[in-house]
Amino acid sequence: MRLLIVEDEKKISDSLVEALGRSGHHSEVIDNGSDVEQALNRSLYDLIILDWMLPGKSGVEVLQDMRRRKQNYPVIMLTAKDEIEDRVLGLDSGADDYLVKPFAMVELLARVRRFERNLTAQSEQYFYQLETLRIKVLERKVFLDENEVELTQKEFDILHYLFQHQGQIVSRHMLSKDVWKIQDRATPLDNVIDVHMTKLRKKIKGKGAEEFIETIRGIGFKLRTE
Amino acid sequence: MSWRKLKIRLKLALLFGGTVFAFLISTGIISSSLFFQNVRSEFDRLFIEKFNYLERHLEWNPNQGIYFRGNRDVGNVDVWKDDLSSKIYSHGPMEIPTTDLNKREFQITSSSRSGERFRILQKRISKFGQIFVLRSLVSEQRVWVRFWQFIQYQTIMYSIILVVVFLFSYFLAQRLLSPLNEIIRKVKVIEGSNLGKRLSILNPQDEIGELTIVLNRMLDRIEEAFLTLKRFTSDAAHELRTPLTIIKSKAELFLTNKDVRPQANETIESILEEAQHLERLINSLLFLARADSGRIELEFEKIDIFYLCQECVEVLEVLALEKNQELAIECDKSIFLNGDRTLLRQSLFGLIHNAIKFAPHNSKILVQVKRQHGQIEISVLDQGNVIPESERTKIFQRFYRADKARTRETGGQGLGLAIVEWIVRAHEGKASYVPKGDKGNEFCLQLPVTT
Repeated sequence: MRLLIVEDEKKISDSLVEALGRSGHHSEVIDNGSDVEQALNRSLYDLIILDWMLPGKSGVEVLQDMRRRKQNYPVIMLTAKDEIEDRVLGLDSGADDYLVKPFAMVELLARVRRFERNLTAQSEQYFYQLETLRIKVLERKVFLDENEVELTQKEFDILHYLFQHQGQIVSRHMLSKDVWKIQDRATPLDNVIDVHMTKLRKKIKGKGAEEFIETIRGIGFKLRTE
Repeated sequence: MSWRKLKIRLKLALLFGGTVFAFLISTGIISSSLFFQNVRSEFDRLFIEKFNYLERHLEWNPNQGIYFRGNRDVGNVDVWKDDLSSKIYSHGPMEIPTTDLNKREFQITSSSRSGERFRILQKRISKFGQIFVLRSLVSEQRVWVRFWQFIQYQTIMYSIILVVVFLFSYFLAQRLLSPLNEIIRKVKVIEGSNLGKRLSILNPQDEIGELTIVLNRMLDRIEEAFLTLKRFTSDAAHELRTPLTIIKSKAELFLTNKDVRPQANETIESILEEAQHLERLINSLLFLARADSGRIELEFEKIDIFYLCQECVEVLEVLALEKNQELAIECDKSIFLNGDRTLLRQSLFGLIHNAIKFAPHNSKILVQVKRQHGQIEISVLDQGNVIPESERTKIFQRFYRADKARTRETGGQGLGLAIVEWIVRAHEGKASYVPKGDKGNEFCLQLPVTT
């Protein structure tokens, strides 16, 4: 995908460019709000990552101008603010998604992938397999070496979520938001997630084989690829 | 009641009344003494005239000596030898006191006997070939009666004046000070979200006008400080989170880079974990800063308390199971409460989480909901160690931590209960801690059932 990153903090935009580059995306960086219009006239982008606090023109103003000009690029808004009024203002201005700093890079990548899937119109998968581990989504069944594994509801949801993001790191924040549906960050689920993860791991441990789920300390978890 | 505690209008009235009183007293003394002198000099003039008559009508013959012969009443009279050795004549019912008797040519003095006042006139006279001292005494009671009458009238009049002046100055002071009451009333209204309002200035020249101007200026400054605090939390959020974002993203990129030496990983991982701590601390601090500046607005909705408890318990059950704790809810269905769902869940979640964290293995934790006295009480009871008595008052304070050594490992920041307390207070409720015997704690959230 071609991305436009509007972020005045060079160290952050550098990291974004590098991380997106590793996932095979090409991105350009603008460090102020006033030059966005020009950039959009010059070339086409699949997604815009827009910081809220920008010199020149604020992110919200940039967004409102874009929507006024009927430029319907999908936009992910980045902000260091997290007040409810700000959220409302951001989404009202036409942002498609929202990330509060300090976000985990893996989470941003996951959001970017979601827009990518929309582009390629990839359909939801109902069957996943990783070596001897198979899951059937609709029946909510998991098999290891042809034997069915009993998972609790949450354990299944986690495993399904990991399969959806196979090969990519999933942060605890993503899990609490998408699996537990708890939006606010003031309710920390880290311990809860860790316990579920330990139990899930124990249940799907193959005989002598490598662990399916890797822990990346400080970031999150990853379902490995073959 | 002491002078300091009196209201200003009463003080002003008393001061003004006091001044007028002092003025009246002094004018009273002067005018009454003038009056008295006046009346007495008139009296003395008549007295002298009478004395002259007496002098003219003195007779002498060798048998009787000196005697008075006239038809006018000249009061009491006596005649003394020139050397004052003996009284040679007396006339009238009273004996004249001899205290002031001397050899002066002329003298007029006062004397009193058993409450009555007299005037005595004495003169050396040379008549009938001899020198003698003639004295006369008359009552001056009527002078004093008139004088006391004058004093009486004056006192009555002055009292009336004083009362009128006092009342007048009291009401005048009250009237002049009424803008102050208005200011008091208005300033009481201006609070928190109302900080934009200002007092109206009636007369910028007078003291109250000045006071109003000064108060308005102060309100300007308070509002500015308030807005600065508001900006500060917003700026602080930005200033603290931006570098944290950089740390996190750089560390993440480093960790996910495949050709990194594994030894370095551990360092980066602990950096990331600390960044996580820092992030949570910043979030809590900003929550409290926003709360303090009155910028967390509650979104009220009807909450099913049983469902709220169940939601928290379902999520946290897994942690209790790990420690083999029994986690139960005791709550009637259909208990509803108007409140901010997210914030209340956050508080309850925090309390249950704490209970699981600090209570021992194989113990019991109970979430109990009661309706009492128009209130809903949500209690979290555990069988953990009781918080020492000296610490109990501090548990809802910021940065309080029961066990300082354990907090790093359990991930506490000492802000959780302070936030819970704020949330409950924002719902006009009360958060409290009750120890249960030797082993057992109850954290209770009392919330009013608002309609």
